[in-house]
Amino acid sequence: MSNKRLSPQKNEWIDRSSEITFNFEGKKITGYKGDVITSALVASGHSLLGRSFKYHRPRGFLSFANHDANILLETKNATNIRADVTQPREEENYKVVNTFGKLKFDCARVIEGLSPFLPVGFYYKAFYSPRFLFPYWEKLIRRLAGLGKVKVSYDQSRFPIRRVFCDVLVVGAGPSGLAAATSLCSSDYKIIIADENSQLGGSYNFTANSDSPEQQKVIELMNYIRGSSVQIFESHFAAGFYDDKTIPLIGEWGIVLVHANSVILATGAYEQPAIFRNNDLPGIVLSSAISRMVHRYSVNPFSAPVILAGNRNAYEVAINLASKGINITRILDLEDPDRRGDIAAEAEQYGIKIVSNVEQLSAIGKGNRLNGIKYTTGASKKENTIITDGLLMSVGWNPAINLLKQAGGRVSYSNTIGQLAIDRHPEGVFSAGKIRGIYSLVDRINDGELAADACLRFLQGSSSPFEPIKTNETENHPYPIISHKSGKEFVDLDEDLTIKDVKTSIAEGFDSVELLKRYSTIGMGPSQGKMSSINGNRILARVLGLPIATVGLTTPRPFVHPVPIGHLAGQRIRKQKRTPLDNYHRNRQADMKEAGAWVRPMSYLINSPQEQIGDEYDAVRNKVGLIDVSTLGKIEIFGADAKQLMEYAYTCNFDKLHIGMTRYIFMVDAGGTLIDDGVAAKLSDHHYYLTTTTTHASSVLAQLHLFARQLNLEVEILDRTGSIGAINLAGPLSKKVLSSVTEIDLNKEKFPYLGFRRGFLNGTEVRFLRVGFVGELGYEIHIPSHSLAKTWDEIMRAGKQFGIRTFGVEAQRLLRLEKGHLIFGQDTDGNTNPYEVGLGWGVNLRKARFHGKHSLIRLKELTRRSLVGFRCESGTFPAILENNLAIEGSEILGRVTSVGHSPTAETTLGLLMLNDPREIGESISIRDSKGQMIKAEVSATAFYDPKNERQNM
Amino acid sequence: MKFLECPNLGRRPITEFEFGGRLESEPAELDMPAARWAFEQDSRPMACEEWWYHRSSKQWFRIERDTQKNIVIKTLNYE
Repeated sequence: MSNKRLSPQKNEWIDRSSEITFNFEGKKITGYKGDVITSALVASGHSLLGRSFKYHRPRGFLSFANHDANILLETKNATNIRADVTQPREEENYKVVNTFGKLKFDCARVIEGLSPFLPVGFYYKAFYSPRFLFPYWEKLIRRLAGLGKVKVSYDQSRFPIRRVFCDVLVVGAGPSGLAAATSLCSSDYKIIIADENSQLGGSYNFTANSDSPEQQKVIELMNYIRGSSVQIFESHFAAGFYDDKTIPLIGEWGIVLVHANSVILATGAYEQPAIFRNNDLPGIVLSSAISRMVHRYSVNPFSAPVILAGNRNAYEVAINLASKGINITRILDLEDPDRRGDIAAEAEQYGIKIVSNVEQLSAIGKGNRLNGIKYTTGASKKENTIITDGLLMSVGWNPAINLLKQAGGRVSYSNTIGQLAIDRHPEGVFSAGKIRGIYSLVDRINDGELAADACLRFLQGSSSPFEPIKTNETENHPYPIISHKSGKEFVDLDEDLTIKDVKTSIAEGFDSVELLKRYSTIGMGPSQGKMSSINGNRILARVLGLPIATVGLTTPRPFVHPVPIGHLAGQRIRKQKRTPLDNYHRNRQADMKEAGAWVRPMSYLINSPQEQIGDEYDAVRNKVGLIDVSTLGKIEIFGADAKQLMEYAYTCNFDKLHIGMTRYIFMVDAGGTLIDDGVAAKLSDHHYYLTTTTTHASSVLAQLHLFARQLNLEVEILDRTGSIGAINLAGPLSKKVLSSVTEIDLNKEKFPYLGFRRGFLNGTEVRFLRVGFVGELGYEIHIPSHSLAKTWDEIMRAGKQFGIRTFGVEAQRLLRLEKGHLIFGQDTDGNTNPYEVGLGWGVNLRKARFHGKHSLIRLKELTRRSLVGFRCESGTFPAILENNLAIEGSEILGRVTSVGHSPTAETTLGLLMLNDPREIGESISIRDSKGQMIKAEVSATAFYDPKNERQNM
Repeated sequence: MKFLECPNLGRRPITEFEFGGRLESEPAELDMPAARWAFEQDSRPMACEEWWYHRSSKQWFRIERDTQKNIVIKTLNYE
């Protein structure tokens, strides 16, 4: 194919000394370093670069700025690559998304022939009735709809989200942004400038004459910024504007999250297309697109292009390109060229023919690209035809106000300048340049300086108003929309919407911008209305006979461009807590699993897991076992008001808790829902020590701190979770093991069940709590973390002759289940109160006050749900799982919250939350995960040793 | 992302804080149904005082916040 590259020019973005080769649709393409995929393809003569979403029409480059979604590519590992802004990777294979077969012979292009049968609102209409056809439509649309396929082999590298703080963030490094940043440099403020382009400068060299003093000035600004302390983020786009001036800059290597004190938005404007028949053909491009192609990548794609003019900019671009030696043959002006002033005559000096008052414009395609255009002029109705391969549209702009609107700014359509204008800036946010309809290079530079001045005054605390340049000149054609009797004038290229579609939607009653958008899908494609929303509004206003200002605007939500989801996730950084015995567990090949923020041993894998759990279970029931429970939250409370805090935070009565004793405690929220449980030990009248569940350690601590503040209590609350480790020695022989390592009198009379003792264990000062989660004689021993491993070893040594075994979380869960002890968060949910789970005995409603008391008074009367036990037929072990349902007829009776295979009961048993209470012994059916109904019997929650004789030894 | 003025540490990202609501502690006597006290907080947009918790320094403090304008009016001094 032919080479469309111009001879080398100053300031081009490509490095001709370094070539890059890649494949496009199976063809080898060679470009230069610095090329984006689109420029390399166009330089090597390609014009057909994509297929449209709905009708699979041929598409080429259009904005060449990522404002349209014509060219979306995929590779083996990635999809929806934006070719306009992505540099090709060496040897990569690129393919166009959304084609069936090859790009050139896309089989799905036949859909266009069906277009009369695919009216606007097709989905809504087709699915409404008849209903039996729904599965058929679903299958068809799932195959046809969507852009790109998710690649399960995607690149999984993750990038951290970087945080940057600054005084001023300048978004956009065009002439006004550069001028603003430069004039801020004289201050000591920290400045960041960001631009989505890979180089500074914006559109500074697209218009006016090359080497003009203004262009030289912008080059000076660029050089100055590069040598200054301003932090530059090229190839980063600002994706949104969030609270407290937080702006994520998205780059190839992740997100830079900027926290700015003030922001200058020099985001420019999106050039807008004209709408006429076949306006989507490859070869019909925006004037700014061709400027980018020529100035940045030195590519001249067309042999004899024609310019469609709706503003002065068309002439500037024509002259600019002609002075580069590009053969611009004609300017087709939609209005009278006299309006453009002297520049029309200047253009004619370059040999450009000017045609005035062009009407009835339409394009003719041939071989998947533009071949010519037809038009009439105001004077005669005679149709003229020009053969051309390129049509450059310059009819107007839509300012990039997305960020400003998200920041809380106000924008409305101005009839004077024929585009959106900013009515109000949020505090600390300023704008400059094209975003406010200022197009001349001189004005853009001055405007940037004015924004910088206002920004400085804001940072210095002055509230003087921001008075930027006001403009009355329009660069917008009021209605660059030409309908054709045969249609195919595309308003939204993402969604293949024509003028007729938009008008039909309005006629069907969707006549507000928001409804029109949702029904017709205008502006809902990947480019999010950047190139369709204003023209859509113009059509709507004209149909309704209203001024555009009154039809309103759709909300421009984040993100400005799509952001890869991996970027949003950032790097996976989570805290993971390890107990002081972590090494011990790992050295014994324990099966370590995450439990909340912790990693805990599920079991010690000496045999296969199930047998192992059984062995660990047996040791605890028959001999003695040792488990690491360091993950429990541990809190110590001191002070004159310590008891008052306990009384308020927990539901039970602490009057009867004597020094040296412990009791089971739980707390509820203001609505009476169970939050957390644990054990409280009273060390003295002004000193309590308590445990919380593993997951709620930090939230209970926060809650206690809050209560202490709210009640103005004289207490100190210490978090001892990290500094104190804990182990549980349990089993009938535990007393024997313990007595060999401590001097403490372990006799039942001296150290009763629920007792608390401080003492020494082989020289280490520890705390003993006689509590039993697993339902055997047992001791919870709380040991300073630094001595935990040593003490653990000593107990294991002492226990060896008694057959001691370490046991993990799995065995513990089974042991406690047999005992009917609850796990908060598993057997309770976000709606469970104490009366539902048999904890009414722990609520003292006679207490003067506690958190949740008033709700519990009410709930006591209302409670119907009831947590009960269930057991299956002895000798069978059906595979019931947590969350299986108990069902009777068509009614759900309840939900299984915990289940296990009990070696003692020799069957499957568990806990079941019943919606209505049932008698013990009643027969129920539980539906397992395979749909089988399994017979079970309601029982008490304590299956094992219901009289607590074993733990009370 | 928002930032909040911690009375001890100054401006910190909101992710370090927990919201504690507008509620005061539960009184001994309620002059309204329990459910209303627990669930029907006055959440009309307005200037109000709220509890906030700085997780890493384990401190609760109050701020005056305008929930309509979404701005913090002032951080009330700790103690």
